[in-house]
Amino acid sequence: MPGTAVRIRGLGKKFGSDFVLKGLDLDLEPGQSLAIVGPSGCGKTTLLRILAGLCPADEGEARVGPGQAVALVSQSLGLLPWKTVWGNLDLPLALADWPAPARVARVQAVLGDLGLAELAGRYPGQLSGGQRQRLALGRALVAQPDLLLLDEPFSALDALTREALGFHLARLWERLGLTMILATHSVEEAVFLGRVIVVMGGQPTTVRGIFQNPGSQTPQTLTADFFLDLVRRVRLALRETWAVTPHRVEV
Amino acid sequence: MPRVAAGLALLAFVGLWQTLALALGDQVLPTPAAVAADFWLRLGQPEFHRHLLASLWRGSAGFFLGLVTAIPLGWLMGRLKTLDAFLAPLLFLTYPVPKVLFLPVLLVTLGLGEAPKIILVAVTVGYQALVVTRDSALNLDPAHLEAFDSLCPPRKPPLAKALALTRHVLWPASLPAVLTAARLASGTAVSVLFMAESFATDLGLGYFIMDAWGNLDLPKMFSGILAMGLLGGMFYVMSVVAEKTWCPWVKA
Repeated sequence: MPGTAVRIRGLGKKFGSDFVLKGLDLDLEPGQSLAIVGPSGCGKTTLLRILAGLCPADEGEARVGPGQAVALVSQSLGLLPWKTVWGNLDLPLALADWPAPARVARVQAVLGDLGLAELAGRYPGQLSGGQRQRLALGRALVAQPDLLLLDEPFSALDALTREALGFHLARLWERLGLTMILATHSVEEAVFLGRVIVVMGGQPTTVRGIFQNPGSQTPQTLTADFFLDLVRRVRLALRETWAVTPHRVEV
Repeated sequence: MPRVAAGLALLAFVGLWQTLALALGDQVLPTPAAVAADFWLRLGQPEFHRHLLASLWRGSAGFFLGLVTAIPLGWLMGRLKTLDAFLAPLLFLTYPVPKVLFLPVLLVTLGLGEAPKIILVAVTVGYQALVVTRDSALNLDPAHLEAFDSLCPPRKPPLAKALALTRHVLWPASLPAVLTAARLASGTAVSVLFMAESFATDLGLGYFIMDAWGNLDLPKMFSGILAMGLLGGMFYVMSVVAEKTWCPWVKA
């Protein structure tokens, strides 16, 4: 798979006897950013977990390019409450057996990048939601991964913090040139952060639409016509998935 | 304010003791002043030091041995299902048994030396620590385990990975519960030590107290009780200090 960062072919995953994902095909080039948008429970998290190597696929394959390091920011963030901001950032480097001086330099650099330098000695329990989110992002980036997987990374935040972190992430992605896959149920977030937007849905879930985003990621983007038009098209595609997704409503 | 309350509580306790001592007479209950004077006197006596040091050694060694045995075993039981399936029924069948009942068995099997006394304290502390360590390893937050798994390089050798998991996740996740168990066990450990030192020995605060009781030397008996109480208090304070020092995130 030369020139491909991620290659997914006929991917299927079962929970019990039912397929959650089936017949999923996707390719991602290095340096690309892909946003997956779909209703809750459509298997976005499962797909990211398979790519992160945390659970196996039942059918087909999901391959990450050879030698590519993968980092995942899960919805729960998984920050270790007994480690300080510094300790959490240092953990991936300690696990990868980086030499001590390089670890110190790298953690300091990431602290600066994410505006967390003042908070290095604090514990996650002493941070705000946005600061915790930045810490989780920093911990994923500290060991310089090639592929960054983000599962609803900003879902627990207020709208303003969410937007600010979105800009921050977009700048980081451009600067670091890494490949990124973001799962979200926010159409605006998907369109803003993804150069490719994939709409997933149905039962079992499969790809329902792929959109290209040619635009830039600046604060003006959010009010630009091309952005609003793309949001509208993605939203319509997403709405169509409802027709094929059985919903049970209980009152 | 808490200091004033503690001072008042201590004053009330001493006042009650003094009233009871006056009511019952010093043949039954010596006054706090008489006990304090006796204790002060004995602090300068080498014979008292020998008893004090013997109990301090047995208590500390038993406390330490109990924790270093129980904590890794608790982790292993919490993480290895097969081992847990085998050991958990034994643990829960024997947990309610008062550990002091093992004393005759230990005296028969290990003789009259230091070992049965130290092991009895170790078993008392160890059981409590084992139960909480196993629980904390069983109930680890899946998000923390998943974070560790996703951050750990896939090619890390299994043994190095298990050691890293213990160091970065298992140990800190169970430490607050283990230290709480140690704090709760400190009183029980000293009472078990007292029982162990009441038999087949002429050294230790347990012997000191029983010997004074036999001679109806009540101030001496109360000095021994005070020393043993201070020993338990020392273990308690050490557990509290350890928790404050090693688990600063708990209050965070």
